[in-house]
Amino acid sequence: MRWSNADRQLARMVRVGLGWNILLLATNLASAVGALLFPALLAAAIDERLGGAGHDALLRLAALIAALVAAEIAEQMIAPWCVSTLTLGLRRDLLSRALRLKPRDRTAFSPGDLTSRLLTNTTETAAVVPLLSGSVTSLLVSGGALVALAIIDIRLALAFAAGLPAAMMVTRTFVGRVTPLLNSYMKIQGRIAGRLVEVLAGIRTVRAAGTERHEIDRILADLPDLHRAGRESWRLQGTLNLRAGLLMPLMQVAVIATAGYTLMDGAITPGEMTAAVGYTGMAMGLFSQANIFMALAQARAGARRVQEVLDLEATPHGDRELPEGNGAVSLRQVTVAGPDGPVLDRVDLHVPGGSVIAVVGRSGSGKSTLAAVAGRLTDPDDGDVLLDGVPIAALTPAALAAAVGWAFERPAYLTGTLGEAIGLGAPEGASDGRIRRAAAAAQADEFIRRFPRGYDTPCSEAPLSGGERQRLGLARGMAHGGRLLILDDALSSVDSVTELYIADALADGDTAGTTRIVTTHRISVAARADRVVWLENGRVRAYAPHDDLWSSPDYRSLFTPGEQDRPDVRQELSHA
Amino acid sequence: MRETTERQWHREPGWPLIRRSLLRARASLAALGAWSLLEAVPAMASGVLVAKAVDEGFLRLDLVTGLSWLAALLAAYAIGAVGTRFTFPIIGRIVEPLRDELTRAVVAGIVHADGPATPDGSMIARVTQQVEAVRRSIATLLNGLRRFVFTLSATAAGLAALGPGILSVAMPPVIVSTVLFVLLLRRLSRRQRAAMEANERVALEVSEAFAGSRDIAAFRGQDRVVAGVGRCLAAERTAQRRLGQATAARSAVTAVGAYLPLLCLLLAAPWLIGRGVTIGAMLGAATYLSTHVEAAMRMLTEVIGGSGLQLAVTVRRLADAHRGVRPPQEGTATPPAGGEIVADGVGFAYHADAAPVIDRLGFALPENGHLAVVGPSGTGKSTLAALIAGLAVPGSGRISVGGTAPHRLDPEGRPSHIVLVPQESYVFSGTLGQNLRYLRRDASDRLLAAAAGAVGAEDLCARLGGWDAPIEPARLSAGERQLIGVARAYLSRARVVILDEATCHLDHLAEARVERAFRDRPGTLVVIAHRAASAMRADHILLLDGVRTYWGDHEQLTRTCGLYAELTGRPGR
Repeated sequence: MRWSNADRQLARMVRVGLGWNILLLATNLASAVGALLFPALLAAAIDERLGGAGHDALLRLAALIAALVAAEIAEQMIAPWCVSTLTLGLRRDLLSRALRLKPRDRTAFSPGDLTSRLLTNTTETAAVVPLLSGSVTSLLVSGGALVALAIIDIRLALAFAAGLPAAMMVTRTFVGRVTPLLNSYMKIQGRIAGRLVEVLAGIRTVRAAGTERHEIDRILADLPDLHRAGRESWRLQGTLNLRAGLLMPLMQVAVIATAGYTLMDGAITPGEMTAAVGYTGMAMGLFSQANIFMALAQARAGARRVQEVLDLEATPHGDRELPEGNGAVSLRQVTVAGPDGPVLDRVDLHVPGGSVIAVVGRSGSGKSTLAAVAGRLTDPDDGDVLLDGVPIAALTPAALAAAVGWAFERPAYLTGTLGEAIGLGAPEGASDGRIRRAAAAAQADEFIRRFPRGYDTPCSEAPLSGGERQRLGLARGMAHGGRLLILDDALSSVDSVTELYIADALADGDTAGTTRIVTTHRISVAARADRVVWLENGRVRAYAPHDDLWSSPDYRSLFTPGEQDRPDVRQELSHA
Repeated sequence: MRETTERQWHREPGWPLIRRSLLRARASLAALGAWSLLEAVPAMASGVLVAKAVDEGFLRLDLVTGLSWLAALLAAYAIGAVGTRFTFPIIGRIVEPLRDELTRAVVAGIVHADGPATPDGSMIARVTQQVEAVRRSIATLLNGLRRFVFTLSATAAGLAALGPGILSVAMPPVIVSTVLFVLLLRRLSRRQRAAMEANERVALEVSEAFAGSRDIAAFRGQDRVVAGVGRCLAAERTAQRRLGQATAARSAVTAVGAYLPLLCLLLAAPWLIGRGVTIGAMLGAATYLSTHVEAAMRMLTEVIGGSGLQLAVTVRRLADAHRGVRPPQEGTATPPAGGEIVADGVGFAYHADAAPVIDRLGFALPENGHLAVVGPSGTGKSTLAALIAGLAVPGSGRISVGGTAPHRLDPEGRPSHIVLVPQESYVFSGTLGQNLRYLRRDASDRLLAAAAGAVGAEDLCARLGGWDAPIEPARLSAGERQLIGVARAYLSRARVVILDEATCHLDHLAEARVERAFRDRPGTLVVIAHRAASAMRADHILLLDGVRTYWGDHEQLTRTCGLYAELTGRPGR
């Protein structure tokens, strides 16, 4: 069998935690040996005490019990610590890698998918360590018990073995019949959850209409089905348990009867008869061995999902620093491939340092990709991007981090307090003043201060509208203070009045000396920029000031009537 | 019928609900006890029957008698298995209704919850995973606890039957162990809860980091984030270790109950035999103690230490999430007479010590008037909409619609008087007709067609396949959803309609058509404007700019308010 990377990861777990492993295996083996010895020592003690003479065997039994308890306690302290230590290492690796993935790899995973890999699959992978020593032990115990039965008297082992095939079958049917029922139960639950999501999305309408009760009934329409499915699963479990409940005692009684028979011919002692009953119970553990293979399969599946992320390459960086400069950006023959042909096609562009460039074009013309490439959020498939003369891919992460600030249409990672969310953009340890100034410039200061705890309000407790989130994201970009600021449709949800204020702050505020690349649908933004990059199908159709382009009907048509807020207003005014 | 469902809505998902539900199921609980008695037959009989088989059969070299006692043992096991078989459906009879009620209470709590309800993972987790955890752990507890009690009492009875003195020798350690276990429970539950909370913090931070991975990459914040989340991860490991320690202590306590009785029995063996206890009885007692008592003690720790704690923690979290949720009150006000809206010194703040969003606002909008509310975002436009619609209560001053305080109206009757159409339109899986009749159940098809035509939704309705065509909300664009939302409002009987950026996803021509339609419809219209053009179509304009408010028509505001002039007239350079 060839070893997959997942198997290698599992093997690595065993290796990394070698000390733990040995310790865990030692305690497990001690438990196993102790468990196997227990019925034998118990038998000896019973025979000794029934004979009424001495207490050596009893003392040995007491010592064994003490050892058993000690081993169990040790195992319960070691196993969680071992698993959580290995999990911790895996999670750190996974998180660190996932956050550094190349953009294309990053978008291949949904956040929920990555979260479940990090939360669940790492634990499953790390659980292989106690699983292995545990399975060795349990096999040892149940196999050993069968051997012990044979040692007491071979007929006992034969009586047990006779019942094995039937017992195996009962265990199998149980899993096979319950699973589909559980699936249908979960499906109904999913329908209920789905309708809840639907109602929550329109909750303001529901509240305004006072139809909450009606909606609750609608969400719960499938509850009777859920009830039926639940009841059915209990009924089935009862039936299946009846079979198991009949079969297991049958085997046990068969062994006891055999033991009684051998007791009669003096082949075994009364104590050994008790031991035989004990060993039979332990040998029953053979039926649960299948669980170990299932658990191992789960660990492998978990390791595979962890490894899928770890196997991906992180975004590479160079070792060059930036010279003095004000953020001149050059694109040379930049091409970015997409699923249906190039998103950017051999784009050449020079953005002078300190200038404001608007990027316009229809949806899908490559605006966001151009912005992403300019600040190295994406690497081009071909061509070079230079920042103040240095290839941007050759920069150290720190140099790049200090140079480029961003604001997005849908800002993400607004976590911690509102102040901290803005602080992600600023250099570590930036002053409160800097953050507040940025917030004020982005027209966010006022709504932030309206919250009871102001800048210390946790984002999770601050109900923000789409426009407010954008302004928070913009404040984050403005707090950055690097030589290049890239705004990717970052004002789309902001209303016209607020946008006016922000545009003023962008033009004259702290960011005035830096290069600003702004992708937009809005005519007012294009009009205020030094020059406009007009993209069409991934190529630069024109690169000129707005006023020069305005004469082109194609250019004017980029700004659909719905988006021409102010000109439209002016028009209606002239009619008034 | 209405009465009972009403009470259910007021129910909180917590211990009282569980208690009441179990109380209602007391007949089933009694049946469960009866079957458990049957189920405990092997636990009670096994030792006695083994003793008989040995003493009267095998030790006397009488195989037939020995085997017949063993046959009796098998019969006892069969009776027990049948008992088990019937306990399962009964557990279903107890647990499933409880799950139904809990689901209902949780869903109602989420729907009625105050504040901005954005669907997030935690709400879904409450309805699915957490309710499920309660269902499973109650079932496990019912199973485990009754087995513990019945097995232990049955075993005790069996031990007593075996011979004098056995019970008093073997039972004290069991009692000591059970008491110690109960004493340990509090610490165990604290640590279990701490571990769960640590795990949830990890889940939250990690999902935030992955959802924000683009922005983290953009600002090269990976090291900062990994360090921050790493602290959280390490905290979880510590919590796990502490839980492991508590679990280990629990095992030690269980061992006292599981093994000590056996040692005591053996230690006292000569004394017991001297008092007439037979060899078979000693074997029987050993069987009881090494199989049933040990199993019962382990069950106790696993069931209470596992499911019991899980139940306690989950129920507390469900109850916490539900805290503060008030179902809407019955309306007390008389229905509004007409559609005049008057605000008098109205103030509103989201929190007692927060700066007010709306402060000393006053205006009077006559019946059939058309008001546009404009201003930068965050100046309380949507709050004003909520106040007029009766969804929020003014902190100071008063607001009235047709002479009545809107928040005092009966919520279910409110759509006949006031309709609020928010930005995010509510379209549900159902037919187009059901969606449009949402605010007026009895509307005829002809009325539907008229409303759709008025707001410009006739093409959409045709494309969707008519009134009886089912709709998949996810497949509609934001604009299409808004069209359905406004058509539904147009159709209602309400004399006051508030469009809160309800047409922002439509293009400006479609928006103008919607506003014209409502202007021509009898009744008062309030438009919270997304675009400045909406203001020009209105008779009255209210401008909120955070500090001051301006009231007037277009002409007046252009003259007196700089911000308004800039908003509507400033050239785009």
